[in-house]
Amino acid sequence: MGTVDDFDAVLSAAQRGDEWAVAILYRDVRPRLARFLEIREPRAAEDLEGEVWLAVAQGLARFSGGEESFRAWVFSIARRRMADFRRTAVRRATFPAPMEELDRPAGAGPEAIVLEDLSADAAAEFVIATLPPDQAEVVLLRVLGGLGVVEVAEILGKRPGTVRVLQHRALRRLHTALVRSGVTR
Amino acid sequence: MTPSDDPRDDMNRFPTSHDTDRLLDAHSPEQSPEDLPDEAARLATLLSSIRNHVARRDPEAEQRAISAMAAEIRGPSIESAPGVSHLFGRRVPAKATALAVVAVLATGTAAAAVNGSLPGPVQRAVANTLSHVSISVPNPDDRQNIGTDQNGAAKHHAPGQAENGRGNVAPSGPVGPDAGGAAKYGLCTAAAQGSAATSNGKRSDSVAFSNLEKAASDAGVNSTKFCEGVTPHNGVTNTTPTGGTTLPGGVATTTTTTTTLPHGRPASWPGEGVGPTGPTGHTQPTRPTTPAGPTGATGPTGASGASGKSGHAHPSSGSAAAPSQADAES
Repeated sequence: MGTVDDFDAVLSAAQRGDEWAVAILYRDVRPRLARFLEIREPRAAEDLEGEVWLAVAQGLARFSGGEESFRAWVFSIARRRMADFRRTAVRRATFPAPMEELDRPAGAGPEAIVLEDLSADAAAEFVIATLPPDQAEVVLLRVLGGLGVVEVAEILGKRPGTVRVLQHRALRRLHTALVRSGVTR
Repeated sequence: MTPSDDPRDDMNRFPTSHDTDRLLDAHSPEQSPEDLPDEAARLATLLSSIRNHVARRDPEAEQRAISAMAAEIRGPSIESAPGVSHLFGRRVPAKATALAVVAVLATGTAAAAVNGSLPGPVQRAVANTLSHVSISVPNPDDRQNIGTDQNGAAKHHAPGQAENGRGNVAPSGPVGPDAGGAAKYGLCTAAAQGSAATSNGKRSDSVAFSNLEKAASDAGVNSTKFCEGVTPHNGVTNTTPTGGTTLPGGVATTTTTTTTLPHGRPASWPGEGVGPTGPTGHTQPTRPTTPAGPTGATGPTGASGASGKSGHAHPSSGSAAAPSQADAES
C-alpha cells in the first residue's frame, strides 16, 4: 500500500535534487528505518542511518521502481551497512556492554517476561533469541520496517512464497515459546 | 520430512496464513482484534511492543539531512562528501586526510617542514598536505625568487641573492679569505712569490689579493709592510704544522714539515717513510725519476693535497645562496 501520492512524480523531482521531493521520500521511510536500526543496532543506529541516507542520495539518480521497491532498496542498503558494521565491530570489539545489561540477572528468560511491561528492545531480543536468523529477519523487517511480503522478499533476495513460509513458521514458534514459558499478558 | 516441517500442515494450524498476515501487517492488529483468535493475544502484544517503538526524532536534524541529501543529489562531489556525511551523523571521508596529517605530524618531518629545510619535493608534498588542514609551512613553489616581507608584500630577489634566515638578503658572490686573520700567512706567502698573476687570472682580479690589499690599507700600510714578519724569504726555512699521524700504538703525534720554498722536485714518496704524506687525497703522485730532492713539498700547499677532499663545493666562493636555490630549483 502506497503512502506517497504520485510517487513517480515525487521520485523524478527528488532525482533532480528538489528538496521538497527529497523531504517526502525521507519522511516516508525514515521512521521505519530509524526504528529498525535503533532496535537492531542501538549503539550505532545514528551513524548507520547517516551512512544509509548518504548512500541513498548518491544512488537515487540510478534508482527506478515504485514506492515499495524504493523502501526495499533503502532497507537493503541498511542491512548491508549493518552487516559491514558488525564485521568491523567484531574485529575492533570496542563497544562496552551497557550498564543495564550488566545489571540484568543472569538467565532471565521468557518466564520472567510480562508482555504488557515489555520494552521494544526486550521484545525484539526475545524474538531474536527464539527464532532462527532468517525467520527473525523476516519478522523484524515486517514489524519494525513496516514492510510487506514482496518488499521483504526483494530485500532478502527470496521469493515471496518463501518469505510467507518463513514468517508463518516464525510466528508459530514464537507462539509456542510464549505458551510454554507461561508468559502473561 | 516431519509433519511440523510441512508447510501445508503449518498453514492449517494457528497461526494460519491469515492470522500471520494480520499479526505482521504494518497496521496494528489491535485496531481490529476481533479478526484474531484468542490464542493470538500474546503474540499480538509481543509484536506490538516492537512496533510501538518510537524512533528518536529531531526535526532540525531531519531538515539538515534533507537539505544535505538534496545538495548531494544536485552536485555530488568528493569535496562535499565530508560535510554531507557529517550532517547524517558520520565523518567517514575525512579519514584519508586525517591519516595523512597524522602521518606527517607523527614523524620529525613536521619540524623540518616548518623550517623549510626538507628537500624540495618532500617540502612541497608536506606543504600541500598540511595546507588542507590550514597549517602553513614553506612551499618551494611559493618562494622561487619571490619572498614576502614582514608586511606581507611580495619582494623579488635578484638572482644570486638569498635570504639568510632572518629576512635579510645576504650578499652573494665570492667573499674570499680574511687577510687579516688566519689566511694572512698564506696570502702573504703567495704575494711574496712576486707573480703578477694568479693561476686563474690577473692578480688585480683576485678577491684574495684584494682582501690582502684592503687589510693592509686598513692597517695603514702597503701590502709588503703588512706582510713583514710573515712573508718567508727565498731560501729561508719556515716550519709550519702540517697535520698529524697516529702511531700504531695509538699515540697521536703532531708532525712538522720543514718547508723549503720550492727549488726542487717533490721527493717524498708514500711508503718510503720520507716525510709526511699529508692530506693528499686520491691523487697518486708521480714517482720521481730523479734522485730524491728536498723533502716536504707534498704538504699542505701541494695541488694534490687541496684536491684530495675535493668534489664538494668550497665553502667560500658565493655558496651562501646555495641552499635556498637548491630548494627553489627542486
